[in-house]
Amino acid sequence: MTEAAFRARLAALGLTLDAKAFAAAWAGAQHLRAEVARIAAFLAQND
Amino acid sequence: MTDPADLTIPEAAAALRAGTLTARALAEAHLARIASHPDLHAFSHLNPDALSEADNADAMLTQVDPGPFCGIPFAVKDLLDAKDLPATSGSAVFAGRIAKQDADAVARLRAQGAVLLGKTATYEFAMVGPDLTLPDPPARNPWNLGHITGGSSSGSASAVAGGLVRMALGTDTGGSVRSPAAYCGCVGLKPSLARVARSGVFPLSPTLDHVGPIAATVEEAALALDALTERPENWRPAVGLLQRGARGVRILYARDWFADDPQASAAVIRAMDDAAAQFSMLGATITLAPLPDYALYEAAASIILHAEALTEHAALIRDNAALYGRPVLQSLAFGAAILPDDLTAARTAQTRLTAEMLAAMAGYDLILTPTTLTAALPFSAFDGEKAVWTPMRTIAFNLTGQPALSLPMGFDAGLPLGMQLVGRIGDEDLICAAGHAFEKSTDHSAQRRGSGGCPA
Repeated sequence: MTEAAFRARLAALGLTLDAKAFAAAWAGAQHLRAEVARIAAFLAQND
Repeated sequence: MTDPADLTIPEAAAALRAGTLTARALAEAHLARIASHPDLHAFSHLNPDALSEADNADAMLTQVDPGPFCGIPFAVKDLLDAKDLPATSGSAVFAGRIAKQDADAVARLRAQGAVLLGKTATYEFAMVGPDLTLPDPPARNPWNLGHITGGSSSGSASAVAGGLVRMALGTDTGGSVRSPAAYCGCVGLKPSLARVARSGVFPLSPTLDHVGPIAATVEEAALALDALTERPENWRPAVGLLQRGARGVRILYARDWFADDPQASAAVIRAMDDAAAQFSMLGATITLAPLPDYALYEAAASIILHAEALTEHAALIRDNAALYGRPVLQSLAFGAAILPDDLTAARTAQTRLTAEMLAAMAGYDLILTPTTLTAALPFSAFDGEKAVWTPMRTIAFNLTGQPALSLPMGFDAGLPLGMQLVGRIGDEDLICAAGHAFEKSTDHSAQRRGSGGCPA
């Protein structure tokens, strides 16, 4: 997910964050994307 | 003469039945204890009708078989509704909200004559904390007021550890009953999924949320769980095996889940090895054995939790974003990174990981792990802009739904450490039996800070 896509998803939720809050949210989002990748790899390994 | 507020729940119940103590006197003793420790910030709202509820309990006590919680004071995390009391979930978003009825768990205790003293502090919406910018100050750790309690059931743990009440309800979505219990030196019991009703609880992640007790001892936590259990006929009583001891219990010591983790403190590793040795002395069989990769459980649970939390808050955010604390709003925003297919994959992984956990337990009765990998951090660690991670080994069992008991196992520089006993679904009686045996054979749970249960 790109930063722009993440920003668009927040906007769709009506969630406007200032620059500092967005930076923190984006860092958390990237961490969660890494967790998504970890789960995808786990499932692929088990298929 | 013993201060009634220092009586255990069974001791108080016996005195109430014998007529040597009244529910009113017991409630007054606890209210006085609460009033003498405002520095803990454990309670967010007191129940103005507590004494009249105690009078009702005194009337109930004259009836036949009033039950073990009749006349016993308790407290409730401010994430659960209690009729006519403020219900804010620790957030300005719900400032002024008054609950119209009791959460099921609260109603169940009140119907048995338990006396609600008040609502305890929570991290905002049970999500992240401590947030030092919120109007209400965070609850403090009775062992050292400069240290956090952990959360999100922060006030419940502070209240029990501080001797303000013997049992308080909490909620646990990723460890929010167990980690504050561990940091504050009390007992936290996350029951099997669905054992305790969750209606009337503001949801964080509905498929991972659990309601459970924080108590001063294993026995009191077990008694509370039995009083809370929604359909008792479907579950074995948690107190059913308390006198069984730990002899013959086959314990899988999951040392590989923490000992090589650089986040684990040396004190936690040492205390865990000592605890394993103590169980061996008690006649349990201790086997070092691997469990599936913890990181996978944490990953699947994080995806589910953030996706569900954002769903729960989506409507509220639209109209009230400015009222949320910054850390909670940021944490909710993480969930926007989760797509529907990601959530589906996480749920598929949840099924497989649960099966793998049960397979790893084959031949064993219980798992032994730490609750948290360090003692409670100081508040000063949370002053900066950067998120602070408090490593735990708890969320895996929200994902699998297994019951997990956290109890004290030692200290690090005067701060408590907690270990975790985990069973199969429905095995609360076994984890409580082992925990009770450990507790009775050590003095970790018996230690309290200062007179009256907390620092002067």
